Amino acid sequence: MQAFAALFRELDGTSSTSAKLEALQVYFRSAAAADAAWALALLLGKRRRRLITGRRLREICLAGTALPEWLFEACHAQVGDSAETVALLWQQRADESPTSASFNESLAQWMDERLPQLAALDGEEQAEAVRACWRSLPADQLLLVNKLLSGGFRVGVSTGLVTRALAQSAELDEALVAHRLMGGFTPSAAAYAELTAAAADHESLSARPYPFFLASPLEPGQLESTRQLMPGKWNGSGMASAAS
Amino acid sequence: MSDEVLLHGAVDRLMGPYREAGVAMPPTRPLAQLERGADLAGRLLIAPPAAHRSRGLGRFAKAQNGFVSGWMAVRGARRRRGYGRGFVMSDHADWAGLLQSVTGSQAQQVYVTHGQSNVLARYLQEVEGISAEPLEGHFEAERFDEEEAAPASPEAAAI
Repeated sequence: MQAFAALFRELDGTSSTSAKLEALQVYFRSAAAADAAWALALLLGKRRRRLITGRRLREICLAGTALPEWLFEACHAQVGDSAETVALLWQQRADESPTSASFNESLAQWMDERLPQLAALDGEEQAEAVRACWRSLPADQLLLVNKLLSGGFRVGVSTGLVTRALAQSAELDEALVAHRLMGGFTPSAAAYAELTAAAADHESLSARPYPFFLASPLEPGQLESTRQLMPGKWNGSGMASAAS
Repeated sequence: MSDEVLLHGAVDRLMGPYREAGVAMPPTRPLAQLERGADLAGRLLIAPPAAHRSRGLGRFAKAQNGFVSGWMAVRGARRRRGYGRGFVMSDHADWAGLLQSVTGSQAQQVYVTHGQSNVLARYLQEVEGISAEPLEGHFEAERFDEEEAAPASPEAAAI
């Protein structure tokens, strides 16, 4: 989780594409497969499940900090996001500093176990468990956990950039990785291993889409070597040609 | 990393009074003294908010920028303005400091102005039980987005 929080900080703190690419590669190279799988799903926006609503997080925060609700509203108006407002206000509370109870859990443990467990509880039991979780977290991870709980995790990286970073860190063709990611990705160590496995024979070829070109003039010489399929339209705008 | 801190002209002008007042300052150099095209890798430049994305600083292609302000605690405030890193340090009193000043002063009646005065006044009334009211019209309410780059603002963009 620490490594993913660091990656989030890196990505969030720069507008440079090459710096983002570098940070992603460093993460994919060093993370365990299960964690990398989750990171990938989150960065691609494939897992945006709301486990606990922002409203519920706010309730839990207010009950634990004795702040009046209108003050939360005033803060929310400045911050613009419940998960972040809760994270900021929770750190302002006067009682104890974070304990170091659960710093070392991996991203996969959080996503597969801890967060769903929190979501499955109800009422006061859930409120207590969420607050215990908040108490155990340093500021940056607190924000991240709240974003993951409320399903609002987003960071400024495109699908293309994440795909490129993953391909380069696994030393694969970018088109191949994009092809393997088609049709969804379930975050698990096995799925990640499959995704980053060396290319099988001809797989690389099937991953490559047919090249697409914008309309361009055709030289008469090129016509002779090509068997043409032409619609009967000679005004110069529409023509398809297939090489045999 | 060089110890010498580079300064935008507006910041450099403040150095004289600080040094005369005996404030210990690190070695500094005005940016204008640097040759064109000088390598700024690993160097720190302090500039006012108005210099962000200005032409003068645009020539340092690889520069990374950050913004120093209490507002940097809020992710959106940083991202809307397009700053890279945010350094959370305010030249204003923070919430806990304000409350401490108010209770420490033992004032019976508090007038609140500048910034979120309604919010603080209401909090003092309802939570601390101190008679307080906003004093409107003396200062503009302050929001980060409206703070558009007053050149003399002590908040600084480090580049």
